[in-house]
Formats: sequence, C-alpha cells, structure tokens
Amino acid sequence: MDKLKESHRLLHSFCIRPKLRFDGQGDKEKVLLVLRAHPLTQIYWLINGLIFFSILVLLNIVITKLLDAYQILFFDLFGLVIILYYLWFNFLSWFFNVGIVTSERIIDMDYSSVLFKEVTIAMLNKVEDLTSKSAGFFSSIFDYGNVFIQTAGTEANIEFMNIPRPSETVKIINDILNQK
Amino acid sequence: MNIVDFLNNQSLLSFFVKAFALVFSIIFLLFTVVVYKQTQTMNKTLSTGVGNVIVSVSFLQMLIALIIVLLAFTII
Repeated sequence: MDKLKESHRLLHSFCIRPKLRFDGQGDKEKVLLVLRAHPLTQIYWLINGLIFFSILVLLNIVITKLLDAYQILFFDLFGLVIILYYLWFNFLSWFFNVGIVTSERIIDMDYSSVLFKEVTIAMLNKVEDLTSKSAGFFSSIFDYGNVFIQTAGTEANIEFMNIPRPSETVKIINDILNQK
Repeated sequence: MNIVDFLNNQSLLSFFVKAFALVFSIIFLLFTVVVYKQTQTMNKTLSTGVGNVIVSVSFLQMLIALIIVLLAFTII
C-alpha cells in the first residue's frame, strides 16, 4: 500500500493516491485509487457532437430561405449552445462516475444521466473475489475492461465498467487486501 | 393552400418560430438549473481540485440559457 506513488494517467481515468475527498470519508481513511471509464469509451459523444454540428451547418442552408436574419442568428446560437451542453453533460457524467478504493473500503459512485445517483460501498474485509474481464478488439489494444468485486454475505457486489488497466487494478486491490 | 404557400406565409411561420423558440428555450433553462444544482451536489459528494471550475461552467451555461430566453422574448 505504501509502494503506491501519486500518479494520474489517461486523462485522470486512472489515478493513484489522488488529492480527492468524498462525502462520508473517515478521518484516517486514505484514497488509494480512483477509476473512471477509459477516455476511448467516451469518444462516441465527441463524434455525436461533430455530427450535430454538421447537421446545424446543413440546416442553415435550408432555413436561410425561410427565416429572417434574427431568427437564423437565434437558431444558430441555440443550436450551438445545445450541442455544447450535450458535450458538457456527457463530460459531467464521465467525470463523476468513479470507482474509489480507499484504505478501508471500495466505493462505486454512479450518476446515470447526471440526475440519478447510486452509491455502492463494500468494506475491504468483506471482499471475497476479484475478477478482471477484458474482451474485444479495442479493449485488448488500449487495455481497458471491467472489474467485478464479489463480497461476502448480503453486501452488494461492485462493478467497475470500462476502466483502464483492469489487471493492474485487481493487482493493486489484492496488494491492499494482503496488507490488511 | 399547398405546402409552399403554407411555408411562405411569413406571419404564420413567424408565429411558429416564436412559439418554438420560447417553449424550447424555457425548457432548456429549467434543465440547466437542474443540472447546475446537481453539479453542486456532485461536487460536494466528490471534492476534486477542479470542483470550482466545473460548478462555474455549469453556472455559465445557466446564464447563457437565460440570455437565450431573453432573446426569444425580444428579437424573434
């Protein structure tokens, strides 16, 4: 656990010992690992943004014949703001959907569509089994995948989806468990 | 009246454009307010070094949405 040095890799999607605090963190509890989805898995909304922008440009050709200058200006502005908002909304969704491994527990924070929150917590001493799964062409090349954490008894199982370096994550959690 | 005449009827078209602009800009404003509040909550749940920047950008989006509503009321 002490071997872990602070580092932030892959656009902060794989952070070791980051300077971060979360709601309900204990005084002596240390954040050891913070995981977000691999940036490559988020590329779809950037592509969508470009497509929407192209549609907006194409729509301009049609609406110039129907609307006056102020109306065109308004719709261009509104369209651009909606596209930027779509990108921002997806960024927020990526940024705050995190998996956290601390010195005491494992936490999975999920905000689906930003508006719905789900927090799953498992104590480290309840962790029974760790599995990393990486399947597919891109996940093999860019080294991302899922990590499943099974817990004892009625405690909820935790899943970290599309995170970078799933094998390294499992190794780090195993090291932490062995030192407990 | 065929579709070309219908679309060329400027007063009718302007009415629809105004109604569309007002309704959607107000819905958008409400949505930005909800997301701004939610961003504040998320920032409290997970405090990072860039929390203030994120909340500020959400606030800026809300201001822009307000400007769009005002534009929809005035220039359209």
